[in-house]
Amino acid sequence: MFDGIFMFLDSLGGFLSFKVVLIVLGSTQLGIIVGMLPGLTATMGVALMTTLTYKMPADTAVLILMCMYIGAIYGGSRSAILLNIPGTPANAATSVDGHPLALQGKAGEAIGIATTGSFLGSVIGMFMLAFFTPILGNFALDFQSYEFFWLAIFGIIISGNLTAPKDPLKGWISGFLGLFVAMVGMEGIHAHIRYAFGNVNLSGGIDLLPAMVGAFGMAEILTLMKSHRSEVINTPIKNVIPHPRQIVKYWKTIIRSGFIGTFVGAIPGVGEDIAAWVSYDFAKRGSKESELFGKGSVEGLIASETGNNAAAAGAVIPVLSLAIPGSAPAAVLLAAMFIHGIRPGPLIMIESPEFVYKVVAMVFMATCAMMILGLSMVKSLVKVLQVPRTKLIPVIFTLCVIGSYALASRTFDVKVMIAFGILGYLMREMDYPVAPMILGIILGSILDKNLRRAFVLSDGSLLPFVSRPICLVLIFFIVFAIVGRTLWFHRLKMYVAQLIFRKKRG
Amino acid sequence: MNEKQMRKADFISSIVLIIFGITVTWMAIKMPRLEEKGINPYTAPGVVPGILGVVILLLSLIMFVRTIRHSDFLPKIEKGNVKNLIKDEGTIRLMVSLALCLVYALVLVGNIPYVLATFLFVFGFILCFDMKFDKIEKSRKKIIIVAFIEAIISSAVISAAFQYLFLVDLP
Repeated sequence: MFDGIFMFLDSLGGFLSFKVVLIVLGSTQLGIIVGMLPGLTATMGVALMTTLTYKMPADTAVLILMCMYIGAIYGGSRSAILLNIPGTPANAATSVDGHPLALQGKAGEAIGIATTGSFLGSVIGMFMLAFFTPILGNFALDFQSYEFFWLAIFGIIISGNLTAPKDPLKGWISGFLGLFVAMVGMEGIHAHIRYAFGNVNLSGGIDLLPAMVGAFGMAEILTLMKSHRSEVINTPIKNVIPHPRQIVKYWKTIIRSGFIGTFVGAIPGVGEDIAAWVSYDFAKRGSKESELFGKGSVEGLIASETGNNAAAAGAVIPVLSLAIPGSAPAAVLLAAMFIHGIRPGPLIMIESPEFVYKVVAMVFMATCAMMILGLSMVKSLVKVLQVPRTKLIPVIFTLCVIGSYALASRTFDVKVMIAFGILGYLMREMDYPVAPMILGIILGSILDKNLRRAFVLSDGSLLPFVSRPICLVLIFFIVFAIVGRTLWFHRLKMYVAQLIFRKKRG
Repeated sequence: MNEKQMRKADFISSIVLIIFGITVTWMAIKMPRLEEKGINPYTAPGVVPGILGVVILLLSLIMFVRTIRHSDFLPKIEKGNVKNLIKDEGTIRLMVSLALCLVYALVLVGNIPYVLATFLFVFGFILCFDMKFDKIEKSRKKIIIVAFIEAIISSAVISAAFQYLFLVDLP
């Protein structure tokens, strides 16, 4: 416990220099701008930033990405409040009460409340990150190849379930396609080249970074350019700093949303958007003023913003302890860590426990920067929303191209980016989520190596896969995640509910 | 996409995925098992891709069966629909954006100096959309000047940042 506090303070002390403070302020500001521009998501921001930071020292790069992530999740509240268009999907719940507040002439107040909520959510998430990562990491030390195999499958299934709420089948297909993409190139045990068709570039495998930039960045560009939409905002903004009484009044909602957000964020594949909605829903159910929800409720606004920013920190917990991301931006963050030679996962608490507390210190710095920047320069920042997308998109696309190229200075990666961009766009159009595919690319080599190693250890027997306690727990969750989404399970649930209801009445 | 269109899309995508799953599995089976090297057959390179191919095949079969259970599953290509799709403003905007991106990434980059390629792309993109599609209420001269300035600044800044800050050999 005290070791952790000392390591956190040590990391924080190590970061405190003029240069680092400038980096933190700059990248958080950039994150806020990316978040507040409708269409540009936190995932895209982190993916693009990864291309810009990969030649930097690992700590600085992860710090920048962390600031971008937290800034973007918060920044989306601006357009949600002012335009009724969530800047990122995580801010959809924010617009429900934030925009009505803006229409009532309280845009400044709403921005201030959203900023404070995001700050407090991040702080709660940060404490949970510091507390739960070592616990989960220590628990995961018992994992062997069998457990890693099931963990990879669990990540794909749960991610598919949650990113495709209408049709989980499409989410699972996307995840397994991602796992297949990871099979392309030289495999890690016998150095055999798979699915390369004699192409030298393909034999080196498909790099995660260009695939990610294409699937998130280029696909988003194409989606944005397809629609014709230009928004102009002329909302007066004043009184940004909220009254402390307003915040203290909702302390229970803040703490509850912080915990819910972190917990939901830590579940692989769920993400900040669902965290915000769940927090909002709980706040509405527990509120004495539930009739105000949807009409400009301060409590609703604070709940959703606390929830989504707590989820951002929460999503990092499985990244560090299990190497499984909690959300799409966290998947990109995990990929970036791999690119920088950091190996998150169960061994991190043994190999480099200080890195975990460095990440906690990064979250703390990003959170402070977000609060300072969020409450200052509001009027000037809102002007960013008036930049037409036709002037922004070509610049972003040039970054997608040069960022993919810069990884290995080869045009093959640009082609990979383009191919995944088109694929990602088609997948979006047909309701196939892209995040499980990216998760699949990350988990592919873990699954491949561990499944084959496990087969060697068990001499081809499947028994250890289904008899070890942790395996059983993971299998239970996987089966439940699959069966829970079937129609007949839903019908069974309704039937049981009716039976109980009748018994109670009878 | 509406529900009917989505069902058609699902029908087509499930067939594509079935073919893909079969191909992946077949190629995995054909992979060497390295028995001559005394390697444990369970670690053969084709084991995991084979399993993945089968899983993709099964999932896409479920989707296929689910789609054909609806009576109107067969995609009917009507002349009018295709015409409407081609004439749709969204489709045109998408195709023009994609074409501009492809020309930049696959033709210009690597064949002419990067700064020039980026300048041409940004300038062309802004001009194309501001004048042709979005029809901004400004004079042509103003649009051209703004596009020119943005293209110069962005190409110079991006090139300089990558070349000198991130030490990347520009294509």
